[in-house]
Amino acid sequence: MPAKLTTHRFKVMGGPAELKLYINNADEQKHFIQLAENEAFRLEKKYSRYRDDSVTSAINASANQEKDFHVDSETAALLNYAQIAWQQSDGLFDITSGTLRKAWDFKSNALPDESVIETLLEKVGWQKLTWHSPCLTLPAGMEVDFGGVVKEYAADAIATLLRNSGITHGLVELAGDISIIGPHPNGSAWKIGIRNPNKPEQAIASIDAFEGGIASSGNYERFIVVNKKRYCHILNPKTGWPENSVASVSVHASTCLVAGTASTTAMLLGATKGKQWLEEGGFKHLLLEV
Amino acid sequence: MSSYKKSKQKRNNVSALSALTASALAIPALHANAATAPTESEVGYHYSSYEEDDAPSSKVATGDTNRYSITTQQFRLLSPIGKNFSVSLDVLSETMSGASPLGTQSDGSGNPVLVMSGASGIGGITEDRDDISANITHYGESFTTSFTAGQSDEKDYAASYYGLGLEWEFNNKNSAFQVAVSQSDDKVTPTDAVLYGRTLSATKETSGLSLGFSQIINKTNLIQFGLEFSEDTGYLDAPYKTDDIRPSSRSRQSAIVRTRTFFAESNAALHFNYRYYWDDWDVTSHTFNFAWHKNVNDSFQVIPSLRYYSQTEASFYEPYKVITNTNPYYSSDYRLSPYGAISFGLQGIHSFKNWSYTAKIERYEADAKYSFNKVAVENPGLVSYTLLTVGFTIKF
Repeated sequence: MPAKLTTHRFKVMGGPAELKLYINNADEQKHFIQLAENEAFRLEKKYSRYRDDSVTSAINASANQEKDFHVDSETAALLNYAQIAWQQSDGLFDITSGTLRKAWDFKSNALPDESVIETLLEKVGWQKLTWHSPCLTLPAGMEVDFGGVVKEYAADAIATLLRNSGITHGLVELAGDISIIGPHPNGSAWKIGIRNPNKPEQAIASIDAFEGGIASSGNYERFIVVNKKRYCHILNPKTGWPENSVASVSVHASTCLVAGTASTTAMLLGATKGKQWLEEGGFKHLLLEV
Repeated sequence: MSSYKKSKQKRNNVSALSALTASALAIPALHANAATAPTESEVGYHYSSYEEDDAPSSKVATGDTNRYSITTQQFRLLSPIGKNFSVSLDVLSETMSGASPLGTQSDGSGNPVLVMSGASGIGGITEDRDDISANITHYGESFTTSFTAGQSDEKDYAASYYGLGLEWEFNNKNSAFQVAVSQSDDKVTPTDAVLYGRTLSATKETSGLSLGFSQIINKTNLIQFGLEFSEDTGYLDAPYKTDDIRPSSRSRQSAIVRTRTFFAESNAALHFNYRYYWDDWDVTSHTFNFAWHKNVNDSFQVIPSLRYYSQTEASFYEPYKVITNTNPYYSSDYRLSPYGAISFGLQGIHSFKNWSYTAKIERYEADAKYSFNKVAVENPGLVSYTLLTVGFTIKF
């Protein structure tokens, strides 16, 4: 009996998640959904900055005690990745930039005070911490935030787990970030709709994807408009301000994690430099200018 | 302003994509089981018709000019067993008919001509061959192990063979070593042996060892290197050919390079294979194979291919037997002669739901003039053939 496409939705990491899996029977369906949800909740619990018992909170607490923090092997691999991403993006993709959100209130309609940004920028910059795997030394007042990687990483981790458990056709989507397990059983590609930044509920284009991951960044996710200018939530760790020339960028890469890093970097580089960086870097992409 | 672009990779420079990918794939939870056990059962059937061109009558001294026709039916069944094992069964049945060269002689002006068998009846050939083999494969974390055993039977020939293969994937499954050993024990019992003074019964053993290393260079490039060694011992003559006497051992070696390159703009992959072969009978050969796997759409693939082959002659090969020949060994078999060959193929593969259909045509022509080296006397027995194959596979 050919496998049937089943869709399962749940909530994790503050957003919607969707599994599209080709499954043989109800028992399998239950088993694989359980496997996927457990992995998603494991990573949410482990890396959430809202939980006191998370690894993220423990790392950030170590900064204020000015001592080394020994991380587990999964976190070490993520930190290694964060370092490579920081290097490849010329310092724009930086997991220490989360603290800048304290200056920006996306619920208000006011721009932040430049002096507040200046103060916060002193505590931003991967070059200021010491990372010798598995040992992280975070200067006082600095913090790391896995928010820029963990959703994409979780999509890949779930897809890999399902693939290694025997699912050959399907995909995992966590709030718009997609990791493909394998194409449809007849070998055809998944058609991935790309949001129209002006009407985020509509697709403006679609990408045919057989494998890998797709991630998007856009100025439509969280933003404020001041004097008719839009300021989005993706902040440059060097200036503390967003770059405003990219409406949205979607990247299709080897994994969702890599695609997410590339889309964030392109967003921060701006339309012209962002396109150039994506092209030179070998990324398949769709970049929409403002 | 939209631009969905398939980007050019930076040359001579590590691209951001490959740097990030390498780092992402180093994260334990993203380790793929690259050689994964199949999760679906598979049944396949293929039918092929192999038709050799008639021997030109100008090159035939006696006998029939109608050369081999072979029809082959192949049946395959593959099934996963549990999560880490798969088993497969292959059954092949073929029927051949036609005449084959018994030997050569001089036409009087020094040109070799063929002495052919009859196409049927005494001395002619109608033969059935049945081959059955089974395989079991275990897919481990980084090791894949497989064992194959089989048996091939004809009226005058029986072979039993087995092989053991091991693949080790490492470097985040970007690299792999392969090693395989094989053994075949063959027995030949020529028909009409007493009538024609042929060997009554003889045996042959073949042992093989192959080593391979494959490396994924990046998302679009893969390279594989291989070395193959095999040793034949026992009765290596062609029993139906007159005066054919060959050494009782043969050491064969091959060095192989294979590359696979995906061209995103064309949605196609170029498969290139090169093989250099040499043995202690002094036969050396080069084989170049190019195949363009073009995805026309999501369900249809066409594969045009081109193969070029050139070989040198065996040390004891002669176009025809001459009385002054002092070599204890002699053969005029075209397969040991110097020649070259070119073949073209065109294959189509269509997938529909869990079905996949294929049709292929191949045209092969051997000729002394295609050889790398200049050939003084062409063997009159070189074959040209047309091969047609149709088949299907169902997964369920």
